[in-house]
Amino acid sequence: MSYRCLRSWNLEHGALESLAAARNDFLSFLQATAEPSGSDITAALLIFGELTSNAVEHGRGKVAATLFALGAATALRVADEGSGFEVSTTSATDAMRGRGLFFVKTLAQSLVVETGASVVEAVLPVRLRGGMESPTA
Amino acid sequence: MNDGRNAVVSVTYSVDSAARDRFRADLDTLLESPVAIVDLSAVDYLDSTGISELLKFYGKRKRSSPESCRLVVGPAEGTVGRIVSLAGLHEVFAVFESMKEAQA
Repeated sequence: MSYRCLRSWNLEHGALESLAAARNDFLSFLQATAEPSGSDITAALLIFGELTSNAVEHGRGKVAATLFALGAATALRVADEGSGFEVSTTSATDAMRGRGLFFVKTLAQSLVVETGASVVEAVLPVRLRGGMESPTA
Repeated sequence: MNDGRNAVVSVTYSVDSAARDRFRADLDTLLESPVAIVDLSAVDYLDSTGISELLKFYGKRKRSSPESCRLVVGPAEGTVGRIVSLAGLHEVFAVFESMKEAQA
């Protein structure tokens, strides 16, 4: 079984005003594809919102958010073109980023922050509906 | 809205990093009120940006207490209710599901 790209969103550093449209599209997509009983769509929306906001506000260059499926499970990958970040609590900005990541860590089933690159991957608490499991032609 | 003692700000937009300055300005109108009520029940999305601004607002008010700093968050399982609870704001603000309860 391999990862399958379900949908992606292209954003850019500094374009804070584009975050809401991406969130709304993500939400509509999940509402159309997720199995309601096995999914926490509110949590997934908060994970998406925190990770895209973090990358658009603090990352560099182009920001790509991609939703993947592995069977009925889902994962979100958010990458920007910066050199990555280390979260500390020494500044107000870092403390705020730390709070956002804390929320993501709590809401996601797992979270991987790749060191040395601006890539974050979160396994979402979302199961896809039966028909979504097999690859579409 | 201000009836002398209870001052209310009703927020109707998504509170994310794009809305930070607007949210801060709205909260700051309540700095001098004896009782500040922040009505977030119509907010569809609020993230760590909003949580940070709420905590800063609490810190900036003189004599803040849960009694004088109230949040209306809508249903506990909604987006705002969930993140407010996750952030532990119940330990700082008095948190209500409805405006009616907040003004009781």
